[in-house]
Amino acid sequence: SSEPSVHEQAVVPVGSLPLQVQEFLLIDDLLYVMTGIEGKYILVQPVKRKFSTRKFVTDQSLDSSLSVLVKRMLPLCTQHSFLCRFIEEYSQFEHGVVAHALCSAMQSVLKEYYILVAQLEHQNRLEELSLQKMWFHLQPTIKIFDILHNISLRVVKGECRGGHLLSLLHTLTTGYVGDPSAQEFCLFLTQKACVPYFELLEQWIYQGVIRDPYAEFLVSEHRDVRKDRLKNRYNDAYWDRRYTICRDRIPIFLQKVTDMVLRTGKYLNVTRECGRDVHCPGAKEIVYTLKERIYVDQIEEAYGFASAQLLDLLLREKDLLGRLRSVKHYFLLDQGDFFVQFLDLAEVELRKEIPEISCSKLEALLELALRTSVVGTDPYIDDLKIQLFHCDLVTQLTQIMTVLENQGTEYSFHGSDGSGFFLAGFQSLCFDYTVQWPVSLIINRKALVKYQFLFRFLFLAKHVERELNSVWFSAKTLRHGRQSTYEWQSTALTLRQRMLNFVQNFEYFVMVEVIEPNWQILECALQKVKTVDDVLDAHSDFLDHCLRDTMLTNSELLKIVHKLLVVCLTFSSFMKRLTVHEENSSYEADDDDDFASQLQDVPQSLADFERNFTKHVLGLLRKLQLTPEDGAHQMANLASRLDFNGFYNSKMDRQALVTVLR
Amino acid sequence: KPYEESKNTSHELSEATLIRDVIFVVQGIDGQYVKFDMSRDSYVIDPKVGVPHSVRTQVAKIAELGWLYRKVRSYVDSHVNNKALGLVGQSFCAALSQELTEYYRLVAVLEAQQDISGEKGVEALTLRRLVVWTADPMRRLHVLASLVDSCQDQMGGALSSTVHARLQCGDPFELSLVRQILNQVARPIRYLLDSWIYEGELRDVFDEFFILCDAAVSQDKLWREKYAIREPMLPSFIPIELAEKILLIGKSIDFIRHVCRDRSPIGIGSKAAKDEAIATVELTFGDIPGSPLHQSVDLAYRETSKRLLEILYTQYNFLGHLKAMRRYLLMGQGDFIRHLMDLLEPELEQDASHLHHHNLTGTLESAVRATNAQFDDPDILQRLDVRVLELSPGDTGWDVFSLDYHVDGPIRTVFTNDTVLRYLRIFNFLWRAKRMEHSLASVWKSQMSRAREIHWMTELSSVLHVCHTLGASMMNFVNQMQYYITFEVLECGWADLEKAVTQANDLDQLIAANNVFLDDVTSRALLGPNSKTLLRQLRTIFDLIVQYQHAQDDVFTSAAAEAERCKKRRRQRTAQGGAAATAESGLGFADEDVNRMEARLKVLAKSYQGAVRQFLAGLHTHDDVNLKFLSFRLNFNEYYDWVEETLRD
Repeated sequence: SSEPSVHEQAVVPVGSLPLQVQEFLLIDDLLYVMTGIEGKYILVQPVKRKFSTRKFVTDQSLDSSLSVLVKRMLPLCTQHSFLCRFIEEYSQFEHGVVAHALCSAMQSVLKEYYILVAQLEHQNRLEELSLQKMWFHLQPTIKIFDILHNISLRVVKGECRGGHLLSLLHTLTTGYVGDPSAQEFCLFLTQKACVPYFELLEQWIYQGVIRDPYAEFLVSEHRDVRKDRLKNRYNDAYWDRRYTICRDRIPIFLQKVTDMVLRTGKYLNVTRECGRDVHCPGAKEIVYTLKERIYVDQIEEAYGFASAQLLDLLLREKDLLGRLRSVKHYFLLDQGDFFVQFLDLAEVELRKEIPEISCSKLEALLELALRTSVVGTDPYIDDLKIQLFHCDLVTQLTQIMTVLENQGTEYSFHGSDGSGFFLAGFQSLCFDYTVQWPVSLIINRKALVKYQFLFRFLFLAKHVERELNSVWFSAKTLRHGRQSTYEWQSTALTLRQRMLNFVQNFEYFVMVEVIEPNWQILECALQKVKTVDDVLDAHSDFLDHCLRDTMLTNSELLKIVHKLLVVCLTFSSFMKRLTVHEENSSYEADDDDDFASQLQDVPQSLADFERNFTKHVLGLLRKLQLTPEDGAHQMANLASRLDFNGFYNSKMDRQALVTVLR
Repeated sequence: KPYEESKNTSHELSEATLIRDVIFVVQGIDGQYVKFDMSRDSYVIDPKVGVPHSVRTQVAKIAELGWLYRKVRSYVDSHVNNKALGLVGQSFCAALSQELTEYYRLVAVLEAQQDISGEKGVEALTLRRLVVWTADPMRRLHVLASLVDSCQDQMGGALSSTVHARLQCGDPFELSLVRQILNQVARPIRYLLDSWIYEGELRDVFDEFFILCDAAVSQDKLWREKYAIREPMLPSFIPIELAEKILLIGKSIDFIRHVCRDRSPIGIGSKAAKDEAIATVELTFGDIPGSPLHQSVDLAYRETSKRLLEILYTQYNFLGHLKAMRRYLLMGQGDFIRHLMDLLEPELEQDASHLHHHNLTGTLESAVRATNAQFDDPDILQRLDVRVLELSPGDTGWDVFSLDYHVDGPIRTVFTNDTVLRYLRIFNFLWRAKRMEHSLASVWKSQMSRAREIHWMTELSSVLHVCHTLGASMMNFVNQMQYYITFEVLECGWADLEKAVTQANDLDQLIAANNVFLDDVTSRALLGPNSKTLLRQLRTIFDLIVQYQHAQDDVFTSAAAEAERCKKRRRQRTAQGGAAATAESGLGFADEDVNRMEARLKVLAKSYQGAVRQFLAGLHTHDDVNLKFLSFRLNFNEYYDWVEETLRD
């Protein structure tokens, strides 16, 4: 758009020339305008904004029919102008590699177009061209330009880039099923535009690397999420957050395999970070075609390879099964001899309240117990740690459940409730376990917390059993005591026996009927797994089933069981107090009035204990028989086990009878 | 004939003339009508000539080529003879020239075309055809011009990084061009790299390679200080981890050649890789592990490091020295240390100024000869020496005595002066602890041997009781400390070190392993910076033990003197006859003497208990878990808590 010079003004009005000359000059002018240069008779109007439509003005004096023909061809010029501006803008770096490739393809189309223009010019100079002929020759070009214009317009409007742009091209291509030539052209464009994107894809699924400077790839990497912070976090943030899918960047033709693509690269990454070489044997260039199967097959192959690599690494090199077994030893007490020893050693310490407990002492005692027991040969023995919780199991569980119900995401376990009330060591003791990367992918914080629940539950039961047993010890010493004790002793011991029976059966149920079968299922599953996600699934299934079947996820049942255990505990501490008094008073004179009055209440308290206990057991049995959930099978087992000889059943009947009679 | 007519009737300049001009212009030469206009920074047709507006625009579009050409050309011209630009800049210019040559070919073809008239007198070359012809060269020149723009005044690795940055583009046309240029630009880097990783030589005359050499550094500091990475010159296609590896390779070769004085060829695999590398100069760009560049570097790294470690292990007996450090400086050779202590004891009891190096060396030698140490490698024994630390007034020999171990040659890179000093510091600590054990043992010996002589002195029984209990609790303390130091600190650390040494792939890892070992031992043996108070408390306890030893010696000497006196008197009495048997009252200790002794011991005991309790409290609050365990171990049955209670009562 240089300024008009003097010589151009001296143009003869074109309408005054002979028609033949008019047509010749018009064609020459048109050819200029078609390449984006202002002609003599067809003038270009400036555009207001970058992507607004360019308009042309034809000379008024032109022959009217010729002028109509010319006007028919002008849209092509408009589109050309638009395309040129589009290419110039979208070849800029910030629009991303897909746009670059698309622009490059468009430029090659434009080059063809300039060749056509040169050919038309040649024909015109030979005087073999007329406007009609030219109109005919331009037909294919008009169609192509229509498509290009359509694409570029939508790109400009939608500000598309990367995967989104590819989706656009893909829909366009598949939309031209009825028009093979247009479809072929669209396919050409899409293929060209796909090349850099598929290069990114290849790098990711064959090497696990993302080099995506313009943020176009469907997986985005967050470099600030590091794996060394993994162990401090509750959730497996590294696995979930380091690489994420960006929904708006997925080309629709990869929609189905997105997850697979993400996982492939993630697996490769993990494998490489563990120092293994990842070199996918089936690595081939991926090309976009209309046949989806072809590239999906390639992606699946890469996925299979990556997954097998990581699985091999985990199972063989990192001895995942051994790890899980070791975790099971400690958290699920499957080789529990160390535990008895530990409790014997640490009893004094555990009776204290949390602030007074020396954690290092507990750990030293734990180590002593571990080293002298069967698990002493476990290679991962050093990873076990002691952790003291500030709230008891049931509170913790109910809190979590409420959080889950309210769709909360994270819950901090470590904060104390600030009430100034401290738990005793027995109520707060728990283990913790250090897991190294990459096994921490499987045994992550989430899984460990579940293990901790199971452990605390088992530990509670074990503790109750221990206490009840110690009641028996102390009762032994009382046997030959005074006359007054005989009366209630038998009641007390019967109650104790019933409690013990309950607790032991309950433990048996949890250990043998819930954990062991589920563990067997897990081991079998681990023999057969094909991918790492299978492992993750199998493991979390195992934990979830254990939690569900041990009633930890059913708050009603849990509350009853917990109450039962608490009744047992208070009973045993009550009995202990009695025996301590008894022993003291047997040495001293019998003038302890206070104690004597207390003794009078003993039968009454015992009756209370018994009533309470029976009430809860009956409640539990009723609930168990009613529970229609998936775990019903095992629960029914527990019910029949607890009420083996119909003892409680008859009680229940009698109770019902009483209520009816009343 | 409208075309002929329009040609003939036109008063305008003919197209052929213009094309002739344009062909000159695209080479940056002014034509007759088309000239470079400085004020507009572009080529324009002389405004006075009669040329239609559309043709002017067309010509201006084509003439952009000339503008781009001038830009590229002027860069090449101004830089090609500039030696300071270095090899990379030189190859960049060469690549540009090569592109320009291709361009000249095109211009020549165009020029030949312009004279040919086609069929029916129509020209073969028109402006529109020129547009088609020049479409691709235009794109190329665009890319080149923008490269030239961004590479202004850059050199070496930085230049290649700039070119590499242009690879982040999705246009295949531009991509292939940039890749081609980058290959050329990277060629000298590859050359420097190859000579560095295969020969260990830095042929970097122009300071453009990413490895920096400080020629002033002496041989024995070669490993640590001579070479470094020159960050700005690091090409962006070589990630920093790889660069560090590369640095290590060349450094290792230099080390092997100049410090170890070994000139044998290194590795066969890398030789093959080298030949291959020379055959295919092309670098693969990408920081993806597993690319050929990575592989060749990895191979060279493995072979070079392996060779270096091999030389250290075999020719310079690295492991032998390491073990010797463990045996002598860290007291692994128990019989030797014990015997040495026995021999040295009388000498070390004296004031420090009376120590003489040659006497000590003599003792050392006799200790070696009398123990299993004599079967050790003579080379190692020869390095073993005695060092007398700096004297400060009041020091006894115990405070300033130290063993020493001389290292030289390449091994010195691992055992630098600082490292050896750290070993000596640990030795000093161990020696002190050992001495406590030693002196308590001698205390016990004298208790046992004297007990019979003085058991009849009933008035001493309370003193002896305090003596025994205090001695026992000290013994327990020292034994537990010794256990902790030998097993929990040294053995555990040593096991880790051995593992790390066998796993070490290169010298750096070896050095790091040794440092980690020293760090561990230092911090666990209370020598770390945050256990200074603890160490002071421990010293106090040790001092108290020494005082206790003296106190007990005093008790026994006075008891012995008393016994002697008694014996003499009794003999006198017997000589004088049994008549004087009533005068027994003059015999035995006076009450005040006993009280004095007892009081002294009790004060000792009390301050000892206090010191230990302070020490325990310090351990308990220490960050290091191992030390917490130690406190638990020392106070296993809560003896000191009990003591505290009784004291409070």
